[in-house]
Amino acid sequence: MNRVRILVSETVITMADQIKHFQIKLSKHTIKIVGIETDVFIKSKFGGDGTVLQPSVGISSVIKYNVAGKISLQSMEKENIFFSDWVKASVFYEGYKKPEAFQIHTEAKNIRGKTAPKKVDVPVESTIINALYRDNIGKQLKQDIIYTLKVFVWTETNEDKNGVAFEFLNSEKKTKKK
Amino acid sequence: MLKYYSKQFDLQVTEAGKTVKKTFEVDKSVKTIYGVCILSNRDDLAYYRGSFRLEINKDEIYAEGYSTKKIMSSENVEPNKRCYFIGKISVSNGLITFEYKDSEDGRTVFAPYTVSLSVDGERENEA
Repeated sequence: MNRVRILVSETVITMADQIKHFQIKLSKHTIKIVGIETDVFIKSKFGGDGTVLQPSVGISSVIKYNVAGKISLQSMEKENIFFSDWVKASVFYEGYKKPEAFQIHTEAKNIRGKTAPKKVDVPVESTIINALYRDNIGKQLKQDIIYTLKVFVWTETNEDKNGVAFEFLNSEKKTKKK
Repeated sequence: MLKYYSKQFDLQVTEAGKTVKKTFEVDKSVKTIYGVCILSNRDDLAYYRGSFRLEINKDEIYAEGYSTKKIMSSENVEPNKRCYFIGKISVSNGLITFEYKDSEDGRTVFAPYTVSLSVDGERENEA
């Protein structure tokens, strides 16, 4: 495999139930998309003087409604969409500070384990991909939540590898022998 | 024979919304870097507010704007697997450039904190 590089695309969502179309520009050296990862940086204040949310809505609601929205990506060379997923506003798990941390962690593996991009295999010729995003968190909370949506596109380029090999590209889940 | 090498490089974040950049130099005996992860004395702030750019040997490994939380591991992960494998990268000039950006996040209140870049690698055995 050739050298893999990460492209970071950012867009701001400002309204509840907002639908946003945008394009992600790829490098001219890109030959294939190999992974997609998403993240959300919430700008709206929670509590305090800068309260945007209603008083009854706090961080616990964000935990409850942690699905920020849904993203779909389309390549110019492939029919239909090649990636569609719910974007989550990850929540920092503070349970580890408590004395019973280890006990909690055994039951909460999915809260903060090790993250990895979702693997895709999309050869590309043009240098853009189309993205469609629809807000969910603002719709659920019935108010406008301002946040930055980040899309990380892991691309294989025609550059030499030079020793770089990211973990998620090599990891294959071991199947347990029965 | 090459031996295991591990070191943490610290950055102080003293102002909200600012970018802090520092270039660290590893010891000359260090030959390769193969793992990285981010730690902090305020895990929650680094998790919600942080993004970064990492360059090893003048080669960009993680692009600007990549989320800190994506390479943070909790106690839930096996200790030997907490760093993210990035391949065996030669560090001929010994330079690691770490650029950290703090961004406002509505779920946190800023307080000065320290972000540490932890690197795993191989060094030459000193006789």
